[in-house]
Amino acid sequence: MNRNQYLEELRHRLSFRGASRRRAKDIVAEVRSHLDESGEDPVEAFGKPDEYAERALRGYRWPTVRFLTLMLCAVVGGSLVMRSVSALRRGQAIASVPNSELLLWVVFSLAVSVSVLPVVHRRLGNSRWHVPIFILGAVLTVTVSNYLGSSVLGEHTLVRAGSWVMFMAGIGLVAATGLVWLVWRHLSGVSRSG
Amino acid sequence: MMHGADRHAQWLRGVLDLCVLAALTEKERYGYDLSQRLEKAGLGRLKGGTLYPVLGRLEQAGLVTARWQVGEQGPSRKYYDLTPVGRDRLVAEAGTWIEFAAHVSALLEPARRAGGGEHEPEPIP
Repeated sequence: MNRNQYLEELRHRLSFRGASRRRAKDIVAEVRSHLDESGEDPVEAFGKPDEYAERALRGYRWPTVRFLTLMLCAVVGGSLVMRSVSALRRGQAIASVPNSELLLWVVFSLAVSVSVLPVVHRRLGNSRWHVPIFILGAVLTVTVSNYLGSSVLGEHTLVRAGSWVMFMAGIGLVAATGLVWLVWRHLSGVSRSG
Repeated sequence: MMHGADRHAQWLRGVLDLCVLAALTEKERYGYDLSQRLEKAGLGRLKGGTLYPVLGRLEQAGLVTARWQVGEQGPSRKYYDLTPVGRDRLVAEAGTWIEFAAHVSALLEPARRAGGGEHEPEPIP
């Protein structure tokens, strides 16, 4: 791994670990400056990019927008799940969830996906197929599930909400699934190249 | 039981932030300059991967300030300087460390002499 490859990889790892763009740029610039001065091998001086990214960010406590959004998403999503479980335990097939709450969760889910996807997308080589595949997958899944939901499940649907909200929820779900897949691939890359 | 380099690394981990603050009392320094100063002080060659995270944490804690200076011919450098809070912290904790080191020395010295290790330690430059 040459110096430029190392710095690029380090930038990805810092971003993936939640460093703000400014913070990542600052850390990379300082590593570059040190390497220019010392002429050392980057891995020898700083360790593998992911290890150094972890060490450089250890102790930084300011939460990123991405982290806050993720927390809000988890709280609202958790509330939805609890309500559905509670409805099931009372023997009700349908848990009515206010559209506003579901929409809130969808918005947070999308915000998390949108903030993380570019990082992972760059890490995986900027393939131009990632985004179209997600959009196509989202539209297909939502269309099929909406059809199944209205014509097959009918009143047994667990969560009752407006169709446009369900459509957005479907997109959020597909984006989240895609995200999990990308993160898994990213982590596989981490274990291979460190 | 640990030996040589491992033990040295462990000691250094506990006191590196104080050594960095101490080196900054002389003048503001950039990372590579600091690593050379600490090496000259006898702490061994510090890797960038060890030094810069410590500097980052000191900056985060408000004990040092940092500023970038564009290099005229060489690379841009990030200079670190001690803040008044950092200076106070250094004075307080340096005293604690010196006291602790004296206690350890008082305990180890008789054992060293009894074991025949009469030679004086090498002076730190």
